[in-house]
Amino acid sequence: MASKVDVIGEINKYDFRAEERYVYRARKGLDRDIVAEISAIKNEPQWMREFRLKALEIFESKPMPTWGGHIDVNFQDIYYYIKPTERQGHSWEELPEEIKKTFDRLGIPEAEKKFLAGVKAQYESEVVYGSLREDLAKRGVIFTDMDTAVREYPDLVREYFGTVIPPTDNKFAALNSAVWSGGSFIYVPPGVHVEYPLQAYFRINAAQMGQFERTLIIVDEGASCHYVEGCTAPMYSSESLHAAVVEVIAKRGARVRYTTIQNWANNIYNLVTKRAVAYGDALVEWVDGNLGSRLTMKYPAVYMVEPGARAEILSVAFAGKGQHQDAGSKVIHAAPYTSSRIVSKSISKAGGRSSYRGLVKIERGAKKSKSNVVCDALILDPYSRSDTYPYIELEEQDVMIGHEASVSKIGEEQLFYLCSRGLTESEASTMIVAGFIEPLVKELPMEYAVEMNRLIALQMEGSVG
Amino acid sequence: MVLPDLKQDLHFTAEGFQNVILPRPQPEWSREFRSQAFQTFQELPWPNRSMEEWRRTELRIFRLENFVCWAPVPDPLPEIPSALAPRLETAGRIVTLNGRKISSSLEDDLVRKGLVVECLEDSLSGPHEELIRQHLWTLFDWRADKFSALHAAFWTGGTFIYVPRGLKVEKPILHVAALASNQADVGHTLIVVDEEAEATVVTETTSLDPAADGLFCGGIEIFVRPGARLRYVNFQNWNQKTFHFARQKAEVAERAFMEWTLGALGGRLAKVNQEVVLNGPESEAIVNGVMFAEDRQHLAYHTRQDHQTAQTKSDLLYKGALQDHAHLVWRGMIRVEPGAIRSDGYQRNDNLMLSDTARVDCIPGLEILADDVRCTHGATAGRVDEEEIFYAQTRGLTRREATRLVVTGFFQQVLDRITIDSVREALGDIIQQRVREYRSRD
Repeated sequence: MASKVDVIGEINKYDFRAEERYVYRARKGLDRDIVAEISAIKNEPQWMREFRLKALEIFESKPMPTWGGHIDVNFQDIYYYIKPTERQGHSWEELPEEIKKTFDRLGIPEAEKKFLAGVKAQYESEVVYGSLREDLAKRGVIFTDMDTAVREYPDLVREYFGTVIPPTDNKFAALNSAVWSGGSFIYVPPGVHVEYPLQAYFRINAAQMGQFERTLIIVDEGASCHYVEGCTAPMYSSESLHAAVVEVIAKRGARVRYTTIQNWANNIYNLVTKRAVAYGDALVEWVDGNLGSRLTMKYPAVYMVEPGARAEILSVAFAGKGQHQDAGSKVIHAAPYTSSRIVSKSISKAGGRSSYRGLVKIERGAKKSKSNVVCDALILDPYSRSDTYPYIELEEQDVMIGHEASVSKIGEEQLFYLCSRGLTESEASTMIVAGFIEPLVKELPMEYAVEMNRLIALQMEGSVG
Repeated sequence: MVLPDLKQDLHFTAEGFQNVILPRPQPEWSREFRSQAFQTFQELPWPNRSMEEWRRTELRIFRLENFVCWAPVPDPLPEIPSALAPRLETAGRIVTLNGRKISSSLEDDLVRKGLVVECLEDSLSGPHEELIRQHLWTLFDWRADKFSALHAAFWTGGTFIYVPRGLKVEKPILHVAALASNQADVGHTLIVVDEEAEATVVTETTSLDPAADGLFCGGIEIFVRPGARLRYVNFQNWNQKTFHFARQKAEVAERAFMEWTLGALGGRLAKVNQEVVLNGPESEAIVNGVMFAEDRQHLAYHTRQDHQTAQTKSDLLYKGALQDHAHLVWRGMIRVEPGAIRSDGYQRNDNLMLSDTARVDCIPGLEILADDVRCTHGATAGRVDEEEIFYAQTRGLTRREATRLVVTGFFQQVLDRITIDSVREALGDIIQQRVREYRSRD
């Protein structure tokens, strides 16, 4: 249980800002010139430049989504590209002082020493720090930022980039495709197991800044890796936008786990498209924790395209004051003998709204497919809201599909029991909520599990069941 | 009554509206309302698949110009086929053809006690005008889409059932609604069960010709007043060429109870919105749905359980089976409004797929804006378990018999919730007849 003092310390931990310094900042607004400028600064090949400009046209032609949450963004009032440093550091000492301090306060260098196989740290639009354990590099593992990958691994990038999520997929995928910068590129060669997590940390420091990282992960046959990302930003009075695109390719027999702990400040629109393709017998796991942001619209997806592919999606959302977490998942069974399991836990408090929006689709011919979805929601007070919108579409008879959902408040009996054991009502509520999200927390690496519990305690502060 | 001139345009058009609808005898408020609804009908676009509500329903096969809003009653009257009429011992009956009453009967004793089972249109100007005017169109959202507005503007005939305060009608009231070849039924049903009254109403829809086209574009409004109890059965058994567009809504007041059973068996294309509003403490609704689709049937049922006030309870179970190229859509929503605490909402949808080429979309939903609630939903889909078939075959049944047995068992759970024996048995029989042997490739 976090004491009052700890909790204030926690708030400060994320809500601090460094002085805004940068070596280059494109002017505000979005048009062909800005997109061409971003491409030129990055010295990109012609095909990428054309890809961006085409994506911009698609973005402009698509209407804003009318479902989900309310998005109030002036696309012309955002900085699309801010370059914080001249070059990427390979040791933390190489970084400008305030950036180094930022990541120190976030605890990244310390975590790197302890339990990570590689780290990427993105600050505004660029990855400012990168490392990978030498033994992994020797075995052919590539872990770099996306911009470097375009230059150094053009063939791999060109083969896969935009194939899982084309710019036409949705308005924000199109926006990302036009102005993307930073993000991770991972390639794991056949049979290689990356035993420790690869981590990326995304930090927005500047106000009215849009972050549009682009991540592409290719795990070759029989290989495995675990990728972890964390996201934070300080609180500004104006809104910022985070619109990432994440593409994952899990080849035959591969295993990929992608873990996100999203704790953006409460004025950030977090509109992210995440999708994986799973080939024969591959396993893709999304572990998704959404705690921050004003509005999150994020539905991690797995397309199972060959027999035996599997998907596991664990999602936890916590919507506090002024927040709307519209999170969920999509699984497409496009081959026989595929299976998926989705567990969603959501908590609404202090007028917050959490929605589960999901799709299970079984294509014709995907025989013997199985899918099971369980959504549980807790509402902690009368002002909050919880929605469940699961879509199930079946074109095949020889399948087993189950879905269940429940919404309730914290049980009076549980509270009473804990209070009778000497806890305050607030402590008891926090403990019950921690138990409620246990299925997610236990899947996290130790350090993240501790962090997650702290964040939940922070969100729960001052709540009465 | 002045009959329309058959040489004039009788379609669902401005001319048809002028020629047929406005001249009909009706109070001025009704005429004004129709004109307003007709204007809305003209302004609204045809539903299309870019609208979320219609995304799964292909309307291109439907042509409104194939139907007229008025046709003479055939002479002599044809025999009306009914699966339920021979089985039910009733307190009263009303039979409509293309939405218009052709006969009705009611026990004298109940007539004396004030029970009304009549043609709604005829009742507009009668002794119940004020009661009808207070209720009509207050639940039915006639602006919802083009079909709703069409119904509100062009409706004719219909059925009005009024159960006076405290009257307990033991035996069911049966309404058989038949549709003649290539005709349209745009009838409206209004049921008011007054305080502390009890009744059972059964509506069966049927087609005279199993192979002829038909259109039903209707609406049902049901009021279950405080402390009243209503068991309502809507047994949709059109032929498989009928287009069925309907909005059905019931409001259940405090301490009132409603058991609503819906059988969806017929129709080429059905798009139905069924909604129950719980509007008072201790109101309760049980909703049962039995859906069976085959051939190229497309049946889309959208349900909503709306908990408006505290201490309300709803329990919905829809079960669907499909074979051939059929497509079932069930989309449900439990909505709990702010302040509707201690609400208990449940919805469940199970689907049994009997062929490789069938398709089902099930979309349960929860929107909960109060904290002290218990709301749960579940959905499943799968096929007949080969082990169960095998087991039955080892006991001497043929594959067809075994399949029938499994499908019957699948529906038993929902049939068991129907408290009217004859309706339960009739539904069970019809489903059994419909289950054909299906081929399995295992």
